Amino acid sequence: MTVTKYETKVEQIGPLAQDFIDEGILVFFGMNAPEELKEFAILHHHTQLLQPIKAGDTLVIGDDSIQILCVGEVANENLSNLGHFVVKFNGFAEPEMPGDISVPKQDNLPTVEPGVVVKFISAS
Amino acid sequence: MSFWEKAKKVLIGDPPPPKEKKSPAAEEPTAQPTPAPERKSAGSSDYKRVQINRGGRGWGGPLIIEPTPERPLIYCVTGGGIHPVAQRIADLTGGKPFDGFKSKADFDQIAVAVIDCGGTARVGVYPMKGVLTVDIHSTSPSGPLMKYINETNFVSGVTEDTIIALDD
Repeated sequence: MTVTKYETKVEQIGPLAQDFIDEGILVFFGMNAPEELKEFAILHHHTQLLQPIKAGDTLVIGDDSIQILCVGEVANENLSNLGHFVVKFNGFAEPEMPGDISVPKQDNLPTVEPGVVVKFISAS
Repeated sequence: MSFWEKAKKVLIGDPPPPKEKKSPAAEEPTAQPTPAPERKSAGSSDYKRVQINRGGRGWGGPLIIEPTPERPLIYCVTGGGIHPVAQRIADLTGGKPFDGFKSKADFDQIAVAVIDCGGTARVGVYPMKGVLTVDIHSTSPSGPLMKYINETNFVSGVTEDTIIALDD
């Protein structure tokens, strides 16, 4: 049985979010983020984090399912408080930065656009 | 003199900072109990300086923060309201705590930004905007904006114990 830990829908893409996407990084923030962060972020309506995200969980972005390799020590806190999370497509097994959620490298990042559903799910 | 020139002058002109990483008890032998922030008539003399040192696993700094009447805000961009580190800076300097998630401020009103960034976005955004930045998490320059981050505009791993009052 799968458990959905967090589910949200992309509302808006900041004009400079592509700078991060080009480096294999997706930066999400809740809609209440200050303007200077909205510029760089993928914005969504923050909902409740039901359970902490951990390595081995799956990140679903639209039709793509992506395995989570590791989760930094402050990633859950930021997600829970601010709807803020950072997905790095770097293939790292240990988080480079404390806010990171690392997933395998891939050449083409999933398409993120308004309306796309983003979920964290676990297999148990 | 611009804030930046002033900040540089203060940074360069000051004697070497007190030794870091002492035990909290040894932090300031003559430290007084934290005075309640007094709001007197307008004037820069109302504000006091603090030195903000990096924490044990942190990076950058030390930063000297001195709010002015034009730049009074201790701009907090963290989860859960005003973070204790931002409150501590406000209490020691006389600056005004400001929740960046609740209201909007101009960057030229901000004396310092306090963030709880995990290392990618906020660590770079505020330095890029010319705002001195304090991260409570132990991050180092990273992400697409890392070129904007340096030891004179950013300090991380900051706790209430790594903030030192400079003006008694």
